[in-house]
Amino acid sequence: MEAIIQDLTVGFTGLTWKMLVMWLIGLTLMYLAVKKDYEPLLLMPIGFGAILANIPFSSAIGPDGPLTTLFQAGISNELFPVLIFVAVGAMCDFTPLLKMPFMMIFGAAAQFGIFATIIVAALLGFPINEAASIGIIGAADGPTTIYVANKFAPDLLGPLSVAAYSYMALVPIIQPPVIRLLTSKKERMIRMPYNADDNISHQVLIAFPIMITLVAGIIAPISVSLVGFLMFGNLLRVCSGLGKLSNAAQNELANLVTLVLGITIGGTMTAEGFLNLKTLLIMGLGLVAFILDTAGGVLLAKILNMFLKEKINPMIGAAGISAFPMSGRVIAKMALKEDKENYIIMQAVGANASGQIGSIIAGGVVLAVVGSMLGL
Amino acid sequence: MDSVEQALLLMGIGLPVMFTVILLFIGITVVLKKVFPNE
Repeated sequence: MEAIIQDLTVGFTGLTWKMLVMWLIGLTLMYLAVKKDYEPLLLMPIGFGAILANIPFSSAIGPDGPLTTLFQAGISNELFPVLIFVAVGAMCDFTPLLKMPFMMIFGAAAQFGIFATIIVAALLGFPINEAASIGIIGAADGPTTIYVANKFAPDLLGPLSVAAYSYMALVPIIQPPVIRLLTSKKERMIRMPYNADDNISHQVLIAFPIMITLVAGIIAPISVSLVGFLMFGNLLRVCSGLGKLSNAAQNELANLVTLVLGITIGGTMTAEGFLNLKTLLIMGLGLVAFILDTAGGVLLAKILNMFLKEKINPMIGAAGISAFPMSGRVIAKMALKEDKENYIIMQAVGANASGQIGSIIAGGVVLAVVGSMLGL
Repeated sequence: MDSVEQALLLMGIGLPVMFTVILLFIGITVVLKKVFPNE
């Protein structure tokens, strides 16, 4: 009898204050997702997964728990993030970028925050594997963050994912003040010509993802999973006759994988692993990464303007982060706010699409260099 | 090498590699547009 009562009350007796805090964190993420529309497709499953993982003796986690099974099936082997890349590639229209290939330079400049944040994290005492995983939040690209974190610091997967997706949702709040701080009104009003008639041939649309995969793969074979699957998704989009596959990648695949990815990540957020100083530092450093990314893009545009006859609106540089298409829209909106007839949406979206490529290249570089340092 | 030195080395290698790769991609795009012009 005593044993039965003990079994029935185990949920109450096993409850700790840390678990209650995690419930609050989970509920906050769900609130932000549902009420504030901050990355709802991810923050909602992550929030609920965090609650499932913090119920005393939860059967959702543990050796035979479904969340553990999902983790082993899709995250520890990087399958889920890679499948998300297929979906992202299918959603990505590289046409504005191909019309203005020069915009790709901002896709590199706006990754500055990754490398700078890795240095800051190392200065704060993080070992290089954890510092690299924290810096990669600056890729502004959830799947890349998960992919790199899983290789170098799987224990930090929960806080890293929450930081990455939270700040991606907060791009409209994070980027404008940084841009205003670094640019004058006159600079923000710079107009940029756009030739809408300069159409891109179908052959270029198909050859581009293939060539990028081959070149990136030869330079950094470790990046093939990132670049290759993104470009595969894009090929589905641009090849005629593959509309069904493209739609499946953009809808069914994206939705299903996002669903299981989110709840599985949430399942890693146990109180013992999440409620510590490291998590707070990760959240702070993630913000630093986004700010430095934005600054890197804007400052490169300003430097280029010293030498260019036809000036670039330096705000375009900030669109080089990977949060697509949100960052491009934010920049275009800021330009319209300064000058009601300054339409730079296509240039901003071009730079933003290059951020997709830049972030996975940065991920590949970090994987290759840090992997070599760690002897992986 | 401590983690700060490793991070500095990563930036020293990473940023130039990134820009080189992106410049290569720009070159590839320009060549592709020349080889396959829109008609």
